Amino acid sequence: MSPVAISGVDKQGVYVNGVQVKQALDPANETVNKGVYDPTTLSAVDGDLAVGNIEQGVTIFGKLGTVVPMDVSDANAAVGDVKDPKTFYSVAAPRKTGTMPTVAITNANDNYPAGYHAGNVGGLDAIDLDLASANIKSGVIIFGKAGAATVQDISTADAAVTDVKDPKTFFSVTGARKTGTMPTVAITAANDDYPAGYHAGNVGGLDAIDADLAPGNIKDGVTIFGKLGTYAQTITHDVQDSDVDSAATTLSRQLDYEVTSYIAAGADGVFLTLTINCAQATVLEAAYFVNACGDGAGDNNLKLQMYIDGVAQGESANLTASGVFHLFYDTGYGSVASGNRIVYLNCHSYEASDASRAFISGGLFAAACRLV
Amino acid sequence: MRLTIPLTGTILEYHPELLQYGGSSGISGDPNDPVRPVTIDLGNVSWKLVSIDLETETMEIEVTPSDNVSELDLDTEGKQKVDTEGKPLYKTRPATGVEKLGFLDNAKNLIEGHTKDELYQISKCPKLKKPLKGVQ
Repeated sequence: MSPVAISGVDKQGVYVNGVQVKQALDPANETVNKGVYDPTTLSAVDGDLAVGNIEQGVTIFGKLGTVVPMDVSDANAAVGDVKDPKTFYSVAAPRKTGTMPTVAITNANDNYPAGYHAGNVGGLDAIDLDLASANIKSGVIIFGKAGAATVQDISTADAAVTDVKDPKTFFSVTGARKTGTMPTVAITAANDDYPAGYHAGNVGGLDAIDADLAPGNIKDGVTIFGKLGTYAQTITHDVQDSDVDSAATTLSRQLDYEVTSYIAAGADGVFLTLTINCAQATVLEAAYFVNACGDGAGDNNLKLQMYIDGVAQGESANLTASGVFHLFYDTGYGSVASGNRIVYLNCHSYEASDASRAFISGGLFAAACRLV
Repeated sequence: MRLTIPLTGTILEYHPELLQYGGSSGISGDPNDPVRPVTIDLGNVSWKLVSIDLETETMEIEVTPSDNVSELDLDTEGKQKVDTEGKPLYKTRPATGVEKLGFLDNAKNLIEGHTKDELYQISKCPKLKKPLKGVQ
C-alpha cells in the first residue's frame, strides 16, 4: 500500500482520497498518462491498429502492414469534372468535391448546356413532343426523325383556284386549303366551241366525238385535224315545184378547177351530185362534159360513170394514165316518178390493189327536167 | 357494138307506166346499191345504156372504143420511164383503127364468152334485188 497522501499522483499512480485509481488508454489520442493500467493490447484499445490499415512493409506496434499503396499519379480530374457534390481523390489533394453542375435539355429552347445530363430513355422526342415526323418538312431528318411526305415546302406553289379542277382541294402558297374552281367541260359534236376548263379528253380522238370528222366527209385534199379529205366536191340543189311547172328546168354546175379524188382499189369516188325535187312524173336528162385524167404514174384503170335515180347510164373509157387531161362526156335519161331524184357523176376504180387518183379540171354537169 | 350484160344492184321503185319513155325510165335504184351491169372491166371502151329488161335482169349497152390509148412511156433507149416513187410513167396517144377494133373484140369476148351465171361469178356481184314498191 502506498504511503501517499490523500489525493494525488505518485509513482504508483493516481490516488483519490488515498485510494489508487487505474487508468485506461484512449483510442482517441496517443497519450499515455501516468498511472496504473490493467493489462491489454493496443489493438484492443484501437481496432484500427490492424495490418489491413498499415501500408505494406511498415510495422506499427508489431503489426506488419499489408496495404499496397494506390498510385494516383495519373489522376487528372478537377473539381469541375466531377458532379457536385460528389467527392474524389486527386493527385494534388487527399479529397476533393466536384463542382460539375447537373443540367438538362428542355423544350423551352434549343440550349444544350454544359454539365451533367441525367438524359431521358424516351429520347429527345420525350422532352419535346413536337419533335415528330408530322412536324418535319419532307426530305429533312431532325435527330433521326424523317419528315413526313405530307409536310411540303409550299413557298413556290403558284396554283390559283382557277387552276385546279372543281371540286378538288389544294394548299396554296399561303398554306390555306382551297377548292379549285376549274370547270369540267368537253368538246361536243353539237358545235365547234372549244371551252376553257378541264377536258377529260377522248382516247379515240376528235373523230370519236364527232364521227363525221372522217376523210370521206372532208373535201378532197383538205386536212382537218389530221384527217386528209377524200370527199369529192358535191353540189346539191333542189328544183322548186314552180320550176318544174315550166316546160323544162335545167340544173347545171360548173366543176371547179381542179377536183381531185383518191379512190381505193375497186371503189367508187363520187365527184358531183345533183338532187332534183320533182313535183310530178318527169323525164330526167343528165349530161357531163369534163376534162379528166388519172394520176400521171401507174396504170390507174379509172372510168367515169353517170347515174340517174340509182340506175347506171353509161361508163367512159379509161381515164388517160399519162396525167394529160382529155375530154369525156356522156348523156342519159330516164323517166321518174315524183319525189327527190338524184343524178351523180362517179369515178370507179378497176384497180385490183393500188389506190388511184382522179382529176377533173373543169367541166359541166347538168340535169334537166322535162314534164312527161 | 351492143352487148347484153346481167344486172346487179337494188330496185327501189318500178313504174311501168313510164317505160314508154325509154332509157332507164320507170326504174329507180338504190343510191347505195344502184342498178348497174355486173362490175366487169370491159377495157378501153365506153358504153351507154340502151335498155333494161327486168324479165331477164339484163341491160343492153352500146359499146364504143376509146379514141385514145395510154401506154408505157419509154426513153430513147427503150427503157421504161418511172416517177420518183418508181411507178411507171405512161403517155397517151390517139388509138389506131386496129386498136379500136381490138378494144371492141376484148369487150365482146369478156361478155359473150361467158354465160350469165359465169359473169355473176366472175364479177362477184349478187343478182338484181327487187324489193319493189310503187305503182305496178
